[in-house]
Amino acid sequence: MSGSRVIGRDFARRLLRNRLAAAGGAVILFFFLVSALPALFASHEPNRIDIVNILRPPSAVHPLGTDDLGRDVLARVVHGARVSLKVGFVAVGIATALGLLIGLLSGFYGGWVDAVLMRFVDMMLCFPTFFLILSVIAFLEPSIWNIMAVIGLTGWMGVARLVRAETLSLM
Amino acid sequence: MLRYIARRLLLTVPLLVGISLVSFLMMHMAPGGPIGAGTDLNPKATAESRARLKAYYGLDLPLHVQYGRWLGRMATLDFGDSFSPDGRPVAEKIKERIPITLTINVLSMGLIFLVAIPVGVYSAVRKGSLFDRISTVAVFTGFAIPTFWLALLMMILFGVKLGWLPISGISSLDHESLGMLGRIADRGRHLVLPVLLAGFGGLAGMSRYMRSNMLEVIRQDYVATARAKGLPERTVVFRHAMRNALLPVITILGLSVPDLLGGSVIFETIFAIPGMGQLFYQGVMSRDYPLIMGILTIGAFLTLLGNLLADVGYALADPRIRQGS
Amino acid sequence: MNRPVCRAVFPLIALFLLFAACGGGKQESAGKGAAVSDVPAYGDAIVEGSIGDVSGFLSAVTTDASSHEAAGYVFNGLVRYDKNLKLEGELAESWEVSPDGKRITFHLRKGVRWHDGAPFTSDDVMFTYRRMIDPRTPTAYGEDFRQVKRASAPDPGTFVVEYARPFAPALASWGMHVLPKHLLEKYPDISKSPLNKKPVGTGPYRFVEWKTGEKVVFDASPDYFEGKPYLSRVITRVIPDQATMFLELKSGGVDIMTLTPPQYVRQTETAEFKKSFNRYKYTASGYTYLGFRLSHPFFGDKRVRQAIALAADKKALIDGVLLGLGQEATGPYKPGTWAYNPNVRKYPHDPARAKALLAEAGWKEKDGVLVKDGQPFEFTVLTNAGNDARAKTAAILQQNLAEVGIRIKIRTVEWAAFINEFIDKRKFDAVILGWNITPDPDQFDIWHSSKTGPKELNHVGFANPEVDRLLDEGRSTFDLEKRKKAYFRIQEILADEQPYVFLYVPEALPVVHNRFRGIVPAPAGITYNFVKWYVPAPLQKHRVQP
Repeated sequence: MSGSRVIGRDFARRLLRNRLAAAGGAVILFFFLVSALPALFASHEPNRIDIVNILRPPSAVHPLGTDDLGRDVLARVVHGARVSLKVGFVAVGIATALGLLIGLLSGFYGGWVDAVLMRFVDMMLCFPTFFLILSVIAFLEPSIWNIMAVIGLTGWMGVARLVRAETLSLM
Repeated sequence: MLRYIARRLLLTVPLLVGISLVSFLMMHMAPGGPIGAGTDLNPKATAESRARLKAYYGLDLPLHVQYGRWLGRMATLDFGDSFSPDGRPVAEKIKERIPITLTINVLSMGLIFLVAIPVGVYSAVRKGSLFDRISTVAVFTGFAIPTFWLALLMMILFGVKLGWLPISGISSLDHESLGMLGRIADRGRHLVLPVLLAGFGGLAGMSRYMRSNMLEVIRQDYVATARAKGLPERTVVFRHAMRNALLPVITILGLSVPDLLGGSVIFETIFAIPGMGQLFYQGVMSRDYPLIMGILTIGAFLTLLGNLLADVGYALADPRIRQGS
Repeated sequence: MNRPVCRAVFPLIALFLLFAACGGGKQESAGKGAAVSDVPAYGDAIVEGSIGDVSGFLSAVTTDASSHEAAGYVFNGLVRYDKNLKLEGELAESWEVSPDGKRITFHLRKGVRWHDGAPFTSDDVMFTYRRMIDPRTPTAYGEDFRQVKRASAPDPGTFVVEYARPFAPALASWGMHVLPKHLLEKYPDISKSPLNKKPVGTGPYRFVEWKTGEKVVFDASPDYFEGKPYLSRVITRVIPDQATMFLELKSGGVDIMTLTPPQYVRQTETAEFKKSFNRYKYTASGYTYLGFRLSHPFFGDKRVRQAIALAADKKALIDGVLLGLGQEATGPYKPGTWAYNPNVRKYPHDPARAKALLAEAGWKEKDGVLVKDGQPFEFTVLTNAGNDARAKTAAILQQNLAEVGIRIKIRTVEWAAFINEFIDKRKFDAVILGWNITPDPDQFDIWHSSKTGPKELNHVGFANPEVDRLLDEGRSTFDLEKRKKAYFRIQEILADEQPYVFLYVPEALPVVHNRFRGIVPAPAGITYNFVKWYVPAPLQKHRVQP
């Protein structure tokens, strides 16, 4: 029997046994569902401007009220969930993957590899991300892929340090 | 160990130079420049006046010359003069803002440590209890709530409706006429909301971290041994378990050093706090190059220092690591 | 339970509560109503809220509104704008323009003193002029002064300037704050002089202190030439957030601020609010527009621009963005002023006419989008980030234009990048921006065909020989009737050509605590007679030590 299948099943069992964790997982799944099938959860168009109904409180027609241009807030939340979840998972995914890699290498090999990589981490920590973002917005086409890349490529340092510390303590 | 520290310290200078060079290049890569703020879309500004202003700031020189000049000045710790119309020295502008930013950061960090660590420890020791569950929900609520929104609600409640606390700023209009004690109390009243709100968001991270560390430590054999020896629970928890669980906190302390001088510009804007966050943000928006470079350099220095302290501290505290470095 | 939680947290909470209790209680902020007798009295202080901090007090070397406003308390110019936005004398009692329009003679007020006691003379005006054209002064406003051919100060009370050609905007340029020669002459660069931080002027208020990032304090100047101001002290508090400022207003921390439309319409309509505050409304001096890059293949055709103007629902814009607090802009001038032409071609919301015009221009509808030569009518509208009103304007326009088959994408870019990468390099299709409307109607820099270079203001590339000629005419004469004719015709042409779709002119919405009396709204706003504002003695809140 393959080791990874056992780990997977073991993980699933432990997850389900912990009630709070299972509940959390269900919430995340629900968010995914909402972002995948927005039509099920919101009947209005998210971008339809309705000047007459600016900033209305929640009502039967607009369960979460309207925003400052009269657009249905629930619809905007539901459609926006897609973008937010994508950015969240992809950006954090990139950051975690990078951090994992660098932290593992650093902790495992030690010596000058560790020294060089950790100094690289220091440099990245001091990197002026603000300017990178300004430049990206100005020079490249506005797309969430650019933003995800920037967040991912500049946010892995904390993970790297953590992973390195754990690796060292296991060595 | 000493050789390791010496080596790291020696590396700091070339690292700082490297970081400053990268920052300088990135800064100039972003479109726009310092004279833009006043002369963009200003009918009274002409090509001549623009060229004149450029020469005035030394922006007409090639990039490597500009960087070289800056580096030369920095070698003597001269941060230069800000490009903003008041032309004040960068060091003076930064020095004005450091005290208040430092105060708020130290106080809120202190709050986080004082509350989150005990909460984390207790949650771990009484895992699954009502306290554990409630505190989990509470800290995560604090983490999830947008602080700027909560800040406005608190301001309305404590400032407008109840009148207990001032709404914004760091001192009252009659601050100067108060005595020493009065001034401390006045400053304190102004800082209650910012510090509490800044701390509220950070409780989750620290307490969960403490809790998971503590859980791991409690599972260790030596803790079972200590219990088996018949030691009172308090001794087991504090003397043996907690001390080891606190080790990673040292790392966090070290890593928090650069954040001590940083501020959240959104937070400072809402509370009208003249701090480092606003200074840096306004510097970036107006492309005030000397100011930006000054703040980035200080931040870089503190980051390197903080990392060094964290690494050394952790190595000193945890014998298992010492071998590795 | 002796958990460390209790041990650590309780003292902390106690400490904080101690601080909270130690401080003063809430100030009484309810006005006692207008029943009190309205006798002008000296005293009290006014606290203003300002979004930005001062960056310097010498207006020649600063460019932001907060700095200029603060400097206005301390300094005077030779002339200023009165309540109807007409020029009147400030440090100049009167002036004459020579018949050929090339020479202006200013007769300066006598007996005016600087705040340090030294007398104000024409030497100071001469000094100011020299420094404005001095290359060592980092000023953006030198250009108007470089038009001067010769300046002279024949006696301490007279100042004469000569220009190569008659230049009408010149008069307004002498509203620049006059600098004290005796305090600044030893500084080659006035921006580095101590006066930039501790100003000394001739104005109604003297500088007291500036706590950077927090507040600026001014005290009334007893020997101000228009009479000592009634309000003894002015304090400007820096509060960068509009919502926070509003809360400060409600709790008495701030006495005067500018409201946003939602605050005006939704949050200040209660009887309780009106018990303590007076709200004012007047037309602001600015307008928002949609500008077309005229060299863009779509926008070269006048019919297309006019169609877009017809498709834009300006009423929806005013209702949506300004909550009704504004009016339609028909051109680049402020409604109600002498240069404003009310009879130009207007563009009411008419999608049917718009579609007809577009069809005339060769655009055919296909699946809800207009197409011509295989190209769909799609373009990007650019605007600067951080401006909520412009973002909303773009969203509404997007919906308006979609109705006639035009699809637009909206892109917001940070200001400096916006200007440098897109505007200056003319890399845009259309922009949503605004202009301040200066009291002097000369708009040469925006509409003249020579001003289309990079960094110049005619970024849409408008070039009309008749407008060029009229712009020249308008600025080369002091005769108001001649100028009015020229500017009226310019507005007619602009309304027909629509290089911009002129969108709206907002209302300015200041609100003041009602203990302040003497406020009379006028086209110039409410602060033109600030030195005459007062608080009746029984209502005064702050006791100001001289």
